[in-house]
Amino acid sequence: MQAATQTRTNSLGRRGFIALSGATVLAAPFVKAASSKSRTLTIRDPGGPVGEAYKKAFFEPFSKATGIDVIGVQSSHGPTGEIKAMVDAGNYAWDGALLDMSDVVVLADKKYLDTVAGSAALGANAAQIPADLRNDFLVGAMGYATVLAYRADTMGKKPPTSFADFWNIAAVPGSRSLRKHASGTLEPALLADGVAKKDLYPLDLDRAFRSLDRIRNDIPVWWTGGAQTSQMLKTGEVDCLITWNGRAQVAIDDGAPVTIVWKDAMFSFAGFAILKGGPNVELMRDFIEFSSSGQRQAEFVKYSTSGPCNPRAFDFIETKLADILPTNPKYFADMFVMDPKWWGNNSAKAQERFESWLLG
Amino acid sequence: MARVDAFAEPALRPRVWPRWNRLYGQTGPVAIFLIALFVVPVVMLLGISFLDSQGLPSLEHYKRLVEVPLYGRVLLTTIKVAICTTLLCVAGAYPVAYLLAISRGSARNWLIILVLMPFWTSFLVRTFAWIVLLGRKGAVNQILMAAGITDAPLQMIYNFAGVMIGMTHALMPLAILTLLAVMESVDPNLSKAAATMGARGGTRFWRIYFPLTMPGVASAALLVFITSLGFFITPALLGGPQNTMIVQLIIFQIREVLNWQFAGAIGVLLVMILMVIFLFYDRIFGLSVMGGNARGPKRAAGSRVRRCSVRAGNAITWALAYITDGLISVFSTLRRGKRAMGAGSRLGLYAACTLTLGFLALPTLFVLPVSFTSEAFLTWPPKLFSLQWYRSVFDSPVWLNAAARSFLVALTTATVAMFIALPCAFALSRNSFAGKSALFGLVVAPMIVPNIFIAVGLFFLFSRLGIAGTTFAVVLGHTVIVIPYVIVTVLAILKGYDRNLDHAAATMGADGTTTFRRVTFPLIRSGVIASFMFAFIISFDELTIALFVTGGRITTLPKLMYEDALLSVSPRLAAVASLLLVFMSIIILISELTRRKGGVRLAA
Repeated sequence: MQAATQTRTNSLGRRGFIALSGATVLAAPFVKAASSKSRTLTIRDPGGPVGEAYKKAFFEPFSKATGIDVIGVQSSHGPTGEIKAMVDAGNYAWDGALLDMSDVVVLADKKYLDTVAGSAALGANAAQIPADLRNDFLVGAMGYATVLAYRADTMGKKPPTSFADFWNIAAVPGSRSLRKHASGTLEPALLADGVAKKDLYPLDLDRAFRSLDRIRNDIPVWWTGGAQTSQMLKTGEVDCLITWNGRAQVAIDDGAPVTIVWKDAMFSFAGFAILKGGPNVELMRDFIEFSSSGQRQAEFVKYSTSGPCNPRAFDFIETKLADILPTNPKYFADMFVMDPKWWGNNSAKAQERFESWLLG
Repeated sequence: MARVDAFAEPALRPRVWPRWNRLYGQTGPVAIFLIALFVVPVVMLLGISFLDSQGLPSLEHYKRLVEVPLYGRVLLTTIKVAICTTLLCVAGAYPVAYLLAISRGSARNWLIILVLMPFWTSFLVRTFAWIVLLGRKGAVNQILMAAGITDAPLQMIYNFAGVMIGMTHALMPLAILTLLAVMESVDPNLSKAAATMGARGGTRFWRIYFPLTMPGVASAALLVFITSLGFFITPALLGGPQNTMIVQLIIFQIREVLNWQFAGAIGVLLVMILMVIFLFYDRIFGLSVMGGNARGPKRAAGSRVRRCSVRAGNAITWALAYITDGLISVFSTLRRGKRAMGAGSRLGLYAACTLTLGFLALPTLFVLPVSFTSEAFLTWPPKLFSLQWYRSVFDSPVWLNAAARSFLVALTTATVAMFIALPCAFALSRNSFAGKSALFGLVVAPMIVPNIFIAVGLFFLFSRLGIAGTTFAVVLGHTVIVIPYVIVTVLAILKGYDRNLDHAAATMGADGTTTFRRVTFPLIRSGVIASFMFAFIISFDELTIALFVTGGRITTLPKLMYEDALLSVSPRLAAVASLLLVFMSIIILISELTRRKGGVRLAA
């Protein structure tokens, strides 16, 4: 008798569990995210410390001008996976996204993006942007340069002025760091080996790795995150490295004796792109045209160290700020734009080879 | 064998409900939950690895895996890193767990807080703390050079040692808690009994205590090994060029070149390797028979691999016992008399624990002062004193919301996971039924499959259901990944549980609920609390799932810290970590205090 009651109590208890978890599972499809009111744009940005800048420079002014709400949502690096999943599933959490040009090449190849202009001609603002800073799927809004940065206190007597100097450890002593990634590392390797900027693409991989062979034993740190380079410049962990201008600028702003070499820097850019097949494609096109104006882009760089892609933006930027921006004409003339097309087609192969090379 | 079960076969007891029905109740929820939210999305995602770019069946991705030597070599590196991390973690954790198991009262509370410290300082802050402490211009090198011990800075990070430091530090608390749960259930009288029979210290430890804690060692090793296979951020930041982990390659394929098919192929390879390891592990430690029938005669007739390993294990512990005894007697003849012996081994224990706990606490001791710096970077020594970073946290609704959400998510996740996983652990431990191994495989599988696949698969599924970007989605995702941890830790504790106690209670007239409440639960309570803590901590610190399933609409604390850290590792992260530390220490103190009160009442 006793045992019988015992078993019954137990199994009733456990049926409770089933009911509970069953309810959870069944309820799942009905708990929906509050999404897509008719006149709302949802746009992904990378967030982080400059996250507010997207709101202030682009989203809020567009709302004010058109009455359409713009919701900024944050997702960190490499949102391509999310976009693929959304377009494949036909469920658009985002209408558009701020993307790097390299992401756009990958996504456009796989038909996940819509064109910026549609069947019409490019808008007046977008047309002001130089042809190498836009393509059918993306109009550059802001960009950054991959630069050589060094500590003036330890290398000041014999500072590196080019990638060739960075590669020449005997003549320009100091400890160095490179990015643990093919992109932005192979170009300096070739430039240091004497290849001219205009002849860089398509990259000669054999030559690039031969060039890297020369300094492999003199690179104590291969960095992986941008924040790591700011940290290393600040503490003097290494004396010089190749990083993004914004990352070096953070250390400079905090008082570290760091100098940026703009010559031969590699420029990459980002802008707003449209998810293919979403409900607000036309609206996104209006937004992109709006955000391509010099004034909007000038507003954005007040909060960050990216360079505006629309040259007219410099009419609205004070000189002191302009001095640290990569698209400043006095630096930009000496730079080159990284070829997103080449990287889009070859990045998998180049990275595979790069990782193999690292293993030795 | 020596023990006679009062009720040899549970089936002898009369029952109203057929056994399959009760088992369904115990195991059904977990099985349904995992099939819907783990098997379906992951199989869908991994399945595409058998298609080519046109969507036709093909093995081209597997051909590439085999033909390009990179993948095999990185996989070997990954396994090597995981094995070394496991050895270091278990070896370091064992004495600390032992110290915890034998200490009581406030000493124990403080130890628990010390052990859990690394968990509350987000893994990013921890990693950066190591970078600042151990770098070429770091605090440790400064001290060594000032003291004249070295002339040039030592290279302590950006190599294999760096990876070991970062990963051991991250995973040792997991090992300690798992071991502790088992050690607390070991009857100290057994060692005393051996002592009365003339066994010396070494023999008592290696032949009695150590074998009894073996389930803890085995499950701690398993948890650490598998978790470390999925690490990538810590090795990437602290490692050298040769310490690339396989997950880094998978993430590159998923995020940067959008080749999910090839990523899936690497994933399938990794899962297959893990299955082989699991199989061996099962043969040696009897994982799928953990618990219940493990002590029956069936076990003795088990596989040859197991018999051999048992024999090898016995030989090793015997040898170790002999050596230790020898060392102790040499030691005690050097130091006068028998008195010193006990004190000596105590001293050794304290020394080992101080070292390990110091190692665990070091980054935190760094983080606390740095959070008051007036600079914009984590540096040592910090330029004091400023509250700006605390102000920036408290002034920001984004940070406060994220913290509240993370707390809520972790609490819900841990509760849901306990409710559905605990009955399943009981069933796995106490019953033998058809499909038991399959069920066990299912419940530990989320641990084996790299989180990135679960995250992407779930995002895909949730997007279709329209729940991506909700807090609910994060809870579901986190529940999937904590279930294995809950089950493995509870199984480890149940394995040492003597069922005769339940039967004894039944003979005294206690019904099922009373037995569970007054006998079973008090005995397994520390294990259950430990696994609840695991679930809470894992969810609270989880990043990959949160990155994907939130779709950017909402944010959790680790996600916010990660995004903050991507652009600048500011002392704000140190401030957040310090706040978490204080907050969590209070929670632990409260839970330990109530626990102790409960214990007193029960004893009275």
